[in-house]
Amino acid sequence: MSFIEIKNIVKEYQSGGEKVKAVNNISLEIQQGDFVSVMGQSGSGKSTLLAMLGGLSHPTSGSVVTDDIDLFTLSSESLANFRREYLGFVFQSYQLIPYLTVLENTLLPLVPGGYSKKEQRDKAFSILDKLHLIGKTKRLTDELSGGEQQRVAIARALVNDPLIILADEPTGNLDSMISEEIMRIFTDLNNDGKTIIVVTHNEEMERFANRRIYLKDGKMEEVYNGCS
Amino acid sequence: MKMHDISFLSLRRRKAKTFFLVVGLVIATALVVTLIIVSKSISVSIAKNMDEFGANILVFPQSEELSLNYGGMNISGVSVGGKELRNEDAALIRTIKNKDNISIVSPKLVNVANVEGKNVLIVGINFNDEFRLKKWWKLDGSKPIQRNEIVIGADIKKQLNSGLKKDLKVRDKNYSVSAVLEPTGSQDDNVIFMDLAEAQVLFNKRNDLSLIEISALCYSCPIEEIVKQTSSKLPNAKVTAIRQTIESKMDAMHRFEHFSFGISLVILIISGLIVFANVSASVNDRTREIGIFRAVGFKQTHIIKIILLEVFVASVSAGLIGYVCGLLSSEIIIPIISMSKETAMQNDFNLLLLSTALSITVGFISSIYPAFRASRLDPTIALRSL
Repeated sequence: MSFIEIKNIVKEYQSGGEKVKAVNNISLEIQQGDFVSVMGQSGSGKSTLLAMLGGLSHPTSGSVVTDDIDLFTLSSESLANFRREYLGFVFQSYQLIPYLTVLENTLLPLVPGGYSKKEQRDKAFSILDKLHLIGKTKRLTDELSGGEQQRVAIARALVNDPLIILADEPTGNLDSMISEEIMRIFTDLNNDGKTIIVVTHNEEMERFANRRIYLKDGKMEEVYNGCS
Repeated sequence: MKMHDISFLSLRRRKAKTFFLVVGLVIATALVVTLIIVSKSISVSIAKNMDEFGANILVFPQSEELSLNYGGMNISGVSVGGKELRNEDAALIRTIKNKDNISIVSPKLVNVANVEGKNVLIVGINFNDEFRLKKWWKLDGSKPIQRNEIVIGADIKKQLNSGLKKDLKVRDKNYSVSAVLEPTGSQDDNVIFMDLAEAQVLFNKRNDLSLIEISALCYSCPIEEIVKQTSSKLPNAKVTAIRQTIESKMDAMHRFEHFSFGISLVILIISGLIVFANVSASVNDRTREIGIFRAVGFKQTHIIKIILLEVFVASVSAGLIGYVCGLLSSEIIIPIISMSKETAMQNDFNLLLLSTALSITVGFISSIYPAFRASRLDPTIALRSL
């Protein structure tokens, strides 16, 4: 049994009175510890697939089963619990809360978890230390550079110690040097046993993944297994 | 960090948005507080003026005899022995439980005397009380100061061919006319008014009274209660409320109160809509943030809690500020509307609770739908990047 099993997943949107299939009947199995890159042009359905993997968006048909949990049979509340326990999200535009500091943004996923203040701080500081952000914990996020903001987003994704990291164009707004640094962080996390799924259209970045998936018009065209 | 910390941090660090949210609620609350205080103050002021405008309670001696008539009111015969009203009775009225509601007590002695060959009604009064009671009286001349000075009605002037500064002989004693009443259209036109103590001496009825007229402030106290209390103080007297006067005053007051209530309601609805638009816009502005919360594992109920707690804190602050603003603006507006600096501002502590409750209610109603809608947003749409 695979860690993540995607079966015949379809996502349709209404566009100008017509139904458009953003994801068209994709089936895929991902093992624990995989580093998967999802490639494809804009509008190919990469982000939609990632959103369904994260339980953020419901498919029109098909299923996603993660660690034997059929995501779309869960209630909205249980799905929130699942996201908190299993997933860490990293987005292209960082998606940090502007009125919260680096520390507060980082420990955000711990807030609904019932952790004490000390536990929250210990976990957040430990991650921020690894990501070299320890001197900037009290800063508001818009005072940071793009690379630093993305590292805060990664810290937030990791603070709950999730099994899976879903990253949507995590280097899209960063220069090549910072992009390399971010991808190395993902590689380190993968080496620590995390399952990483990264959506990117940057071919430079796909070399970090051990599995590559190519999407075109919502369909999966090719799958490569093994490091390049 | 706890869930409520997010609400407080949002309010504290998004100062401009918090400011506009609070200001919207403050305006709504302050408007309503101002309207309530102003309308209540003006109501009380009008009620007080109306209450002082003529008597609304009459006190007669208990009597089986036929009555004299004065001003359309029946007055018991004056010779009924021990049942007559006394000067002390007028003083006793001021000792009832609701004595603060007693504005004017005007004791009277009514008698008939032959003046210049004609039978004329002579009424002994305390001029100061009577002038307060009958604000519609207009004098040609001056208010009597000496005990031998009298005021005559307009018809008396004609019938007795009398006038200002002229003397009239009553029971062999000369009285100087200090003022002539302008026509009132009432029986006052056919009456000679003189000092009460002088009348009691003149008619040999020392300490006796024919009736007592009372002006009670009945706006905040049921008139029946004052009548009951007065009756228990004066067991030998018949105490009657003048229904027609009271009903017409109360009717006028109720109309004014309904009018004020209507205006308050309209302003409340308009303010509520403005606040609704403001709060809705504020929540709608936060869809991306809500998407982030959802993505990192916040439940829908968490999102609603965060938003509603923010609105609650803003509403409570706005309620308190709105109350203070309402008080200040009332203080400015009341003298302008009432055209009198003497109109007292009617304020009580309950209004503070009311303004806070109102602010919370408006804030809650305005935000509950946007908060629910926001919590149910598809996180991918909220984030827009996925």
